[in-house]
Amino acid sequence: MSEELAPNEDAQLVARTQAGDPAAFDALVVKYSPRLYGLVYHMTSNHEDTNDLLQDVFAKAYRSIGGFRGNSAFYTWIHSIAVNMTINFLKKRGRRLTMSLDDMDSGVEHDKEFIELTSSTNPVREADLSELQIRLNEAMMKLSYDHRAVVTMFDIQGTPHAEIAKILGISEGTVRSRLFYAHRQLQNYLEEFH
Amino acid sequence: MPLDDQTLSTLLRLKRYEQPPPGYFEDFLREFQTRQRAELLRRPAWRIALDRLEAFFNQSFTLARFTYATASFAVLCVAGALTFNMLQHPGSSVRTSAEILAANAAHAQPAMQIASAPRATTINATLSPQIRIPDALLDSQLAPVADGHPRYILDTRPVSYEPPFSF
Repeated sequence: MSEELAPNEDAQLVARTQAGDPAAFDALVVKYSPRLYGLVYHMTSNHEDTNDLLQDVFAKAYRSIGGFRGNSAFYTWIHSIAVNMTINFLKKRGRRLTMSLDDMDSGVEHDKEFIELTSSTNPVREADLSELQIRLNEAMMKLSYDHRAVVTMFDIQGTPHAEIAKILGISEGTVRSRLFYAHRQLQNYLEEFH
Repeated sequence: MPLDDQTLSTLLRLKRYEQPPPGYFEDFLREFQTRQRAELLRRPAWRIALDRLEAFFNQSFTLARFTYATASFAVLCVAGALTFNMLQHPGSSVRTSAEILAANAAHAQPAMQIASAPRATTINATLSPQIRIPDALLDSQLAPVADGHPRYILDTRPVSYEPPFSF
């Protein structure tokens, strides 16, 4: 994870932002927007909501960065803001399902796991992978917000347990148990289709 | 047949290929900067101050904890001091006219003794050192004793009560 490997670079950018250099914060926006987009997007399942939320996340971070003391990594801090704001947004939005996740990047066709999954020997192929993805998205939206956040960060984004625990302010054990429960739920939702 | 863990994990990992439209991230920064400028023009000063205060307390957890603890301690100290003061002097804050009269009556007895004593009286009760009251003071404070009952001069007023005619 490149973001986690360069904490010093982040610290320098944060210090420059705190000293009044807006270009330094722009660099942080460029660096973190793709990853935070994925986090918010997989929790909301809506591009427009994600865009608005992401703008608000960076705006809040910019307003609050003066008080950022570096007790945690900037990576952790900005992810915490994003998760909390997204969960608050979802609570306000309620259970409205907004599915707009039908545009897969063309890069997926070259993914090793995708090729394996759609190979002639794998039964998933018969079940139509794209349909399964749609069902998976629906199942994701049925998870609680906390469980969805954990699944998004761990399974989709590959964030380690320890980092998720820091972002959410919970123990690693809680992260693991939430993951276990979320996987069981997703499997149950997908069982009848599969 | 349930979906096994491996397949589920693979399907979830493939979701990372769900991406925004091409060029989205290039436009995102520009939109952010535009919004920031617009927001700065819209935001009132009190809102900015509130945000900074909120950020300060959110980040400085230790300081915030100490601040609250100190503030709570100060409030407790003041409350304790007031309670102690009230217990030490019960009813000191509000006195009824009956209490005032009773207090005056209690003070009248030594005045009678002083008045009936010879001039240049030396009070030598249990107190030490001795208090010598000058004659002039006795003359001005106490009226002559009539029929054995002391009388106070009621029309004597403190100088400060006189209307300030000159400035």
